[in-house]
Amino acid sequence: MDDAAEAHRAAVVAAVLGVVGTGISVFGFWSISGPQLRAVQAVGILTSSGALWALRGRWARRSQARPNVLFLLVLLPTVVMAWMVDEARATHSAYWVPYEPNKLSVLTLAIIAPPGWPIGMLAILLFVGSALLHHLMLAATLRARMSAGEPFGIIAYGVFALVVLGFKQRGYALRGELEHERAEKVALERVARVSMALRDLANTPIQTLELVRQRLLTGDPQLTLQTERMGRALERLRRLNDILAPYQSAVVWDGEGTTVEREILSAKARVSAPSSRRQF
Amino acid sequence: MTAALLDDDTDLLEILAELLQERDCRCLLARSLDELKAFGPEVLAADVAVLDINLGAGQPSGIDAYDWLLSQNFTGRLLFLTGHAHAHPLVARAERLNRATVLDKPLDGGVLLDRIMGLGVGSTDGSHVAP
Repeated sequence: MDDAAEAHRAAVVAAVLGVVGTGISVFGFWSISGPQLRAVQAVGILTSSGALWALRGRWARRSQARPNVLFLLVLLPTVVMAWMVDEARATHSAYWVPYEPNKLSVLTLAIIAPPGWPIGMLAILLFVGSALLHHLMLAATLRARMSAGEPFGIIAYGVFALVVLGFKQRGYALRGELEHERAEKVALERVARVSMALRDLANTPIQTLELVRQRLLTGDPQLTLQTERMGRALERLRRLNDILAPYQSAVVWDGEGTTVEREILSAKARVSAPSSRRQF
Repeated sequence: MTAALLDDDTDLLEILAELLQERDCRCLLARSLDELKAFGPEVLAADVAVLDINLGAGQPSGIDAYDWLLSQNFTGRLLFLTGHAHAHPLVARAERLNRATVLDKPLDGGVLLDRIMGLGVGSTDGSHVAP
């Protein structure tokens, strides 16, 4: 799977989680939500649904930029919704664990992030930053009812999410290197197959020329000079085998010969002279 | 002396036959297993059979010819002549056959003729002779 396909997958997962997560939040926070939160929830579901619709086409898989934009787009209503949910829970509950949606979101984003650091980091910092900003803006009376440890709790989640994101990006990088190595190996093997097949096809004519040279060794001084030249030229051609020999190990033989070799042999058969049974 | 020569390259067959004739060796030339079989008892009485391993796409190989000759109680020497790499499956199979020696193309003309005439070497021994 290439980076564009991975980015597409990440955007689809983000949009599906956007629809499912927001849907759950509608029922979960119905009793404490007001018209504004419900409106944001509706916008969130519509945005994620719209992103899914936009991602369904084949064109959406071709580029990495479009899915990345949609990945970030579906997060925006969620950030606002997380803020408002926290606000509502703080107002309506005697005690509450703050920034839960943000904490869940940063870890999830680290796991589903597309290839490339910027998008994943931006997404994580969006949720951590909004929680920190909210923390600064909370009234002192609300902070007093907050469970201990904040804002270091959300910061710790953010750091851990960045570490997970690092592993995710390392995985993408390793996958890319593996695919590159595999493509190089396949290309080398193909070149090796062609080289070996051509080398093998060349050996018979070289053998024929060597025997012709042998036939011309009659003792005539003029012919001797020519056959010596021919011998030196044939020796150079013979050295081609030594040059190509190391590539033998790169060839994976399938059955009685490689596909490329069979293609070359078929081509050779088409240009060969007609058969004849002879007795000398 | 009689030599049976099997190779799908006509020019190679003919020049090899000319050189062997100069050494008083009678040659039977075939470009395929069917042509070799068509010689009948003559080929089975030959002193040496020189078999190209790869006789073209979709054609019986020199190893098939080797098997046929042995099935017909051929008692002469057997030489495989190939331009293919040692790693090629057919060549690898030929190298495992006890009765035959594998000669690599291109071989020095004098050395090749000596090997066919059985000069300067022992009988067939399954060895590999490279240029």
